[in-house]
Amino acid sequence: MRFLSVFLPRLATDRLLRRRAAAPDAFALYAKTKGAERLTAVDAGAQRLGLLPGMAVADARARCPALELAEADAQADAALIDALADWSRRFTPLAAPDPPDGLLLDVTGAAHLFGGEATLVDEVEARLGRLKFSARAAIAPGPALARALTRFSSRRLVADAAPQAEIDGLAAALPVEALGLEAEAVAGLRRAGLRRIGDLLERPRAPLAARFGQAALARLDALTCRLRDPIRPRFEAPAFIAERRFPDGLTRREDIEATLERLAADLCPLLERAGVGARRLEAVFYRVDGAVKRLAAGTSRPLRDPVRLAALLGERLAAAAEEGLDTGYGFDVLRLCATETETTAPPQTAFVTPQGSRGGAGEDADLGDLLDRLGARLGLRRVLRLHAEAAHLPEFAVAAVPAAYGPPRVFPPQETVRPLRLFERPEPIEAIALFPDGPPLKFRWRRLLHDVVAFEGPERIAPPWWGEAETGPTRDYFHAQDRDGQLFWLFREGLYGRETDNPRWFVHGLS
Amino acid sequence: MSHSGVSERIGFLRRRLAAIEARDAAPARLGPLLGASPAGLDAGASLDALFAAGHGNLSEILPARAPDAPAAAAFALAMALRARAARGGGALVVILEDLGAQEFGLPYGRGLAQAGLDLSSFALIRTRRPRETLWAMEEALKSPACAAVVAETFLNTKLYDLAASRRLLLAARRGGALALLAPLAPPQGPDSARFSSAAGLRVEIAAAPPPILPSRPPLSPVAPFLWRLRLIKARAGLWGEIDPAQWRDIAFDPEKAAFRHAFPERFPAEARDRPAAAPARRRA
Repeated sequence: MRFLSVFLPRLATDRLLRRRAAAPDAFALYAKTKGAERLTAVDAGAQRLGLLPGMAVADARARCPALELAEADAQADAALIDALADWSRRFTPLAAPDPPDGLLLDVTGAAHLFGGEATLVDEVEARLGRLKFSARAAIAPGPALARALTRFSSRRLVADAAPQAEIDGLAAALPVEALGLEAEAVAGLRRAGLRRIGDLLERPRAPLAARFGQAALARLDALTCRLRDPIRPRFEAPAFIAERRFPDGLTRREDIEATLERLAADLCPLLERAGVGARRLEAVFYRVDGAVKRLAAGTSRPLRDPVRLAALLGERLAAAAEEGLDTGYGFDVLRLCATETETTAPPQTAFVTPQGSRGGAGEDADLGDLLDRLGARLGLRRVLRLHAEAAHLPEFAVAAVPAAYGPPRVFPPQETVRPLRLFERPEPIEAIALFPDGPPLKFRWRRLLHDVVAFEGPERIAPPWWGEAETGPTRDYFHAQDRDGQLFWLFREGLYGRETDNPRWFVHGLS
Repeated sequence: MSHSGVSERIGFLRRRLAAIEARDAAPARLGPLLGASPAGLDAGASLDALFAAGHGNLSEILPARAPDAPAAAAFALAMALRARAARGGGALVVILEDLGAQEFGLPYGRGLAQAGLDLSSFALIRTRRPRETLWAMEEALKSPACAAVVAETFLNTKLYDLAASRRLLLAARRGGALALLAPLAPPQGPDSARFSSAAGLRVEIAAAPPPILPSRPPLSPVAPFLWRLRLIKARAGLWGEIDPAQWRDIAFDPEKAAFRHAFPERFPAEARDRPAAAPARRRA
């Protein structure tokens, strides 16, 4: 296992300074802790003048009158770390933020893509440097060791096949802070005269465990790579990835579209080999200046046809372009992944294509294509199919389900007449009936008075009284037609005398 | 220039147009459209034939008044069902704006199933704006899967001009689907139903009022598939046959998926030869 750790010692000050043209001589961040204003982070200039985090603002100002101050913002720092973790996914799909000031990347089997591990470390540092972050990176067989090396050592690379003795020797020279324990535990270790990791390694384990807890020993084992210690990546690594890298950023939309087509052509053989089709696709564009743009598209059925996948993403790209796709200085890494897949049978191939074979399945596929394309542009929740549900209440008898969830359930035939349109929620009306549980004579809907000249009903629909949940009153439904011929589906809520003395009326549908 | 010269020239231009139109469409599809002998509109079957001109065509279904919008949308749905039956299958796509759903509700699956619609080939697309509706409609029309596409929209004629309607028409010809545009509000102004577009058929729909007869128990409502219809524009070669001022009653039969005249429902026969003392029967 190979892990790359990145340490950003001046993350908080870099966050603000990198946006400025000229850096001030000394810059620091402060926060109010327990009523006192104290420095939380200092830049290189301030450190050279002897300022340190934890110093009171008044002292710092006295020592360095030219000091520029800004308020610390822990949330912005955390967001920046997450954004950088996203950015670092250009090197490997498994990238995790390592708050408060680092990143952890699982680069197992990925380093050769960048010309070896030493080159990769250089490239990470150089790229972060170009984004105006001061950064130190290191690769080691375990994340804890890599993390410790970036912070407490000048060594940047530990070989994969390094013997345990060499790792122990390397770790022994590190201070006990490298364990990453809480400040109190570290102070305890120091009080006991244990200053280096080597001091811990020399001692028997049982007394150490008794005094400092099992957690400290686990950290020690992780640091010396005796324990397999996984990282928690920010996003699950998709099983199928295709990507292309460009020395210069792509800015033209045509180029991006053409690249997406190539990526789809790269991805589909992978899907085919595994016998799956993509249900959800994600295209990730890494901009030269560090920004990351994602486009996701869902499909209504497992797909592994490069043309269709590319068309789907092209649609999504067009929608994004309408909102404004900021290409900036261009995208230099384009990646296409299938984030969700589903098993699908390979298509039947015949020696001779039968004449007029565009029936049945072909038509379904065409409709699926259309719905995918519409869903990519309008949003998946806006392309719906109607599913039958086993419910009596009219609003629950049909569910409008996004087409991406699959083909609809067939409707059983129904005897009672239903309207052609139904309101998403019934609209209250004022109705006059001849007697309290009789049909409506007149009603006022949207400020207009309608005379009922013909009606049919009632059809009584009771709420699901057998369930656990609180149910509403019984409804009596009427089909009614007014003098102009408009057809309404009305209901009265509540049985007069039994459930309520003042039943309310609603319009539920129109025909 | 004499009067006859003008009509000759117009006749020539019409033939030229028909020839141009025939070039970018399959001749078989346009056969009934360009058929020179329009059937009389008196028999029920010929009324159905008027709407059978269907595939690859664009029709506009306008509501006569604001409350008739659901009726007009139902008529568009009936035309779509008719087109689907004529094609022998295919998908039916309904595009609806959010505002339309708020005003008139969403298509209801149970009611649609009763109207003879197979919901396994039905899709409902919800859009935010009329521009999106037009885009979605064009995309759906281009797909070979669709038999008919109904767009219910709050459209203004600025957005839906000759070019936009022509795009829809060409898309419909390409995919072989029937395009049905059902504006949810009647066009504003006195003569505004005569805006120009490339549509082959434009009708105005009003809900058919129930017959009001004095001294009788309340009737049960008539079937939902009953309308009053006025032809405003028909390109199917029906010159002189249609009177734009005349309202006709038309009904749709979901079982046969065909249109017919609505005489039987409109005039229930009064039993005049019944004995005076016969007890009044309540209708269900």
